[in-house]
Amino acid sequence: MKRILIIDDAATVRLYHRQILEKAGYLVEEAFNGLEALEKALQAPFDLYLVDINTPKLDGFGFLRELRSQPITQTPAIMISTMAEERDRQQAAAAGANDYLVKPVRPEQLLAHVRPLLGEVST
Amino acid sequence: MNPLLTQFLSEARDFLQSIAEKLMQLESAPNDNEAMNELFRAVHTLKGNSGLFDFPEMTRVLHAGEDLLDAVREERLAYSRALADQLLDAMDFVGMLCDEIESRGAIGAQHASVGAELAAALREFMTSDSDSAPDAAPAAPADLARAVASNTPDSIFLAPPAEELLAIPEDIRRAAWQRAHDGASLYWLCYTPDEQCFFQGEDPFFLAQQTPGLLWGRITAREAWPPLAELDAYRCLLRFDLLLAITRAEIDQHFRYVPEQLTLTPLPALALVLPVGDGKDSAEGEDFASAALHQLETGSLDALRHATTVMLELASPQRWLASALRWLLLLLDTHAARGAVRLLLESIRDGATPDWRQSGTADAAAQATPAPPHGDPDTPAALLPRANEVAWEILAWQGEVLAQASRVAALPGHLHAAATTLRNCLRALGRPDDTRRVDEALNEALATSSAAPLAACLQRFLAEAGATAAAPVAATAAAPASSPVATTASDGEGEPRFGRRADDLLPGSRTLKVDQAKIDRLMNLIGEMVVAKNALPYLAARAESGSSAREMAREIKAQHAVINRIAEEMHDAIMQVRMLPVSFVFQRFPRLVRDISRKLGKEVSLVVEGEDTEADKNVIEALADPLVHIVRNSLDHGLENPQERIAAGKAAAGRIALTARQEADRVLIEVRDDGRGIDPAHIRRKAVEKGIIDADTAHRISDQEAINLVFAAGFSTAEQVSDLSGRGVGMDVVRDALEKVSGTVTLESEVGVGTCLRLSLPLSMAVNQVMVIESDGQAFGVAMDCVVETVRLPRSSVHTIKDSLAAVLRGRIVPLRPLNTLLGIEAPPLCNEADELAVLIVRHGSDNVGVIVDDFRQTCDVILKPLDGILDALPGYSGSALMGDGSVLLVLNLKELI
Amino acid sequence: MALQFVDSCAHFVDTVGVEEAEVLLDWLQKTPDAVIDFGPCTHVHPANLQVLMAANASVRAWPAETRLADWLRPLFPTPEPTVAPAPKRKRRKAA
Repeated sequence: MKRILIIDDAATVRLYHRQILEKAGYLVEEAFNGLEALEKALQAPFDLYLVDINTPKLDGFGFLRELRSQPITQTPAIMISTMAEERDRQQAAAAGANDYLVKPVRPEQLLAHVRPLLGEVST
Repeated sequence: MNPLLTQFLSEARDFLQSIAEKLMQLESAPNDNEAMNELFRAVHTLKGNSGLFDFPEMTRVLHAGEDLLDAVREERLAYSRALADQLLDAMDFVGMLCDEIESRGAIGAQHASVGAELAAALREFMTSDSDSAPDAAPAAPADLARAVASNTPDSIFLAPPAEELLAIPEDIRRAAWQRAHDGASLYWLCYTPDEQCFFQGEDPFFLAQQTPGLLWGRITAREAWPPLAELDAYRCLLRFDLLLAITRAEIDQHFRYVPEQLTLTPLPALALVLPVGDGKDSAEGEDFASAALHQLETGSLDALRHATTVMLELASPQRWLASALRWLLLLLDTHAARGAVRLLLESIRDGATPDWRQSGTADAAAQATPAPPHGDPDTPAALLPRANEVAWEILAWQGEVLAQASRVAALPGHLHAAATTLRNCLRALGRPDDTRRVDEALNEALATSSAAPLAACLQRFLAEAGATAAAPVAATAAAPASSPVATTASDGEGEPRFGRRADDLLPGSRTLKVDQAKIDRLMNLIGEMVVAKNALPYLAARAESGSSAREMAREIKAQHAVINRIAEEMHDAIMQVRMLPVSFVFQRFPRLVRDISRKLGKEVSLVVEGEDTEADKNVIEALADPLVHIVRNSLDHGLENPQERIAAGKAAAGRIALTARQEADRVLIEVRDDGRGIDPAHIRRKAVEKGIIDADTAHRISDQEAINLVFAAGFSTAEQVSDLSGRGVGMDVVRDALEKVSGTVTLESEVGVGTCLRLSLPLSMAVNQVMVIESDGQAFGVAMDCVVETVRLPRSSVHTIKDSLAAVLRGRIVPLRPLNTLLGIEAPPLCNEADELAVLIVRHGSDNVGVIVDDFRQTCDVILKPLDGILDALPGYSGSALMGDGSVLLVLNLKELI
Repeated sequence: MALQFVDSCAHFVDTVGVEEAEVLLDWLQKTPDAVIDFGPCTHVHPANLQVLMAANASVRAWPAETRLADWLRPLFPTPEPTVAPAPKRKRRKAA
């Protein structure tokens, strides 16, 4: 079973994403902020990270930069943000996000991105 | 459902309730200005709130209601029963939308047309009734909205004239006929975008192109083009005519943001049966048609069909006759009604364009619309995202990731992550063999510490894929072979490119989040309480066994002290549970500031500090509304647009700082902007214009006093009506709302430098310290926080100045109000033996007022319960409290009374 | 660059956004013999379209994107009118 880590400080957003992903058969864990996420990732890397940009203590950019400089298995990360400007996407790419979604993310849209990122052939 | 939405809904219901009450109240007392103002404010605030979400249907109706009430308030329009009915209808609609949001998390698209109709009906009052109003509100013509809403069979002959339909190529009309035969509904849609729409970032062409079920479309100019030198490139003068095979709901959904810009006509398929070509009037046509009509009458349809086929082979395809025959064949093949076939034959015989609007053929036309073979015309096209496209998109995006990666320290991590992404996407695309090439490129990239090899590898994939990736897209485009504007019905795909979507609202439940530690503390206290309680039977046993009264008293007192401590701590613990961080309110601002500043074309950076500061739930909730008003005011009127700012030597982006902090037992909230500030001279002039002060006073008052006039009821400096801040409702509402929770607001402003509003609120509201006073033999409570002092004044020192009482206290004149008078009690105030009156000096705004009571009693802590039931409507009371002796104390709201 | 001017020809490339309309309007006023090349264009913001319509601009090449081309063709005169072959085929089939 593929493991996905949701990093978001908003409990409702975490719940929302968790419900979509669990329904689709993924194992989901949550982190409240970048620090907590990093701790979890260092224990056992996930197959995919859903990273909210604005989290307290360590934000999404910071988390990705830290994650990408760790000697662990590197896996894809989706940055999720309310900003849709090209500049924001570039920043996300620079921090090491492999995909970018603009909130609010619709369930089928989320899955359409998660599946190929996990290497799953779409049906 | 998310907490923000939950809060919005509960607030909306309160507003709707009060709007309904006020409307009815005004019916019996139409001149009640206070009620009128409150009604207007409620609608205004509700409209503003709805604008925070994507509920265009709701905002539209509320905006129309607000404009209407504004006209009534300014006496441009008389209040009437019919007007109230219409408003109540509109509010019911809004309430219904709230229910729908609560149960489904979104508003169904089917409401857009009802919303447009209600809004139009409200606006109709203004246009029909107010000829005197020169600046009639931007009226959406009611008949337009009606046309949108009309989907009834009798509108069948609203179909556009044949000349318009002839613009559609024959093969597309034939395809449309076929679609109708297969059960689709056809619509003719004229989409006339707002002239200002380009400024709002809209792209009507894109919207039109993306319409689901699009068979054909064209762009036309609304008016003759001016010479280029006079052309305004950004005033939209285009109109889009679309032929659609679609359900009504899909249209509503697709155009939900602009329903008032549509004229939608259900199109009977028969209206499309229009032959084209030259040589309309031909002898062979006439001969053929006469014979064919005979065959039709005798029911020999097979013979008719055969004759038609033969004739068609003879006729030159470009000729009008050939076109007519092709239609005839199609009608026969799709088993069209006999009346329709006859009309077409007659028109061939007469060499005339068939007139399907002709009155006698209405029935024929209705029947002639091909019957769907299976009964369900509403089967929506599958709108699933095309997974392969997403995978290609992600793949392509890694190019960007890799380009950026060369500039970062953690290159190997980036390379590995990008490589994994590439491999996964390739697998998802069914090309697992290609992952080896990724591995090779990755190794090379790692060896050379450069992203280039991996990027080059990706480029090769993309180049190779160019042909294959385009293939499926081309295939879908080719599907409805004859349509020049093929339909792909894919507006749901990908990012919101031309406007955000917030259709997906978060699920969840309405709960209060409490820190675990707070609950643990309560648990511990309950434990202590149980122990303390167990000591009581022991005490009782001691009393029975005949301990001395003195000893018993001592032990009971000791036990009381224990229980008292626990009770106090429990109280404190519960208060802690009720504490919420101000972030509960602050969280809406980043979005609000972003959206509003965008709409206004301003650049604004929002700084939020101290969002962890906590206060009682009631206080936090009371804070929300005023704060939204204040921030909106700053955005709308405080901050200048970038050009003005640069001209003034400021940074282009304005700044709004929202800070919260605790000071002693108050929460201080500060909203500071670096905008243009408030010009006292402007305020003076406005205040005089509005009759709030006279010219003399305007000259006399200080600048600060002038600025404070913005808090006066009915004052507003807003000169233009906007969707956001609007007019009239402003600082007076803020002040009133804050005073209700014992808060205060102060304003400082310097022209050209900025404005700062300071809100001060109590931390907690649950426990109140009240002073008990007596008047006419009854006891009342008065909240201590408004009591300045208590004095006893000799009756002789009370003077009568212009019908009202006053006294000089420490060199200042203090107006006096007997409480009995305020409460409508006839009895005169009582004096004590020394002929002194008991006067409670209370704070009233920035002044002090003396309230004459009969006597003072003690102060005590009470838990204030608001009055409910029929008592709720009583003004002048904050609530009731249970006293230690079991009696009920009514607590006065002196602010309202005075 | 979404909009490129080469001599008296304006080349529309990929997506041509709303911000180009003003530039285009200026250029058209200065270029009486202007022609338009839509070849690699995938989307035109309608502000540009109405500027072109008002100028009655001549089109040298239609978009390779056929759907877009179908929208644009009726709006502008062409130096050499193109014939759409599709209807003919259809007609034969119907016959």
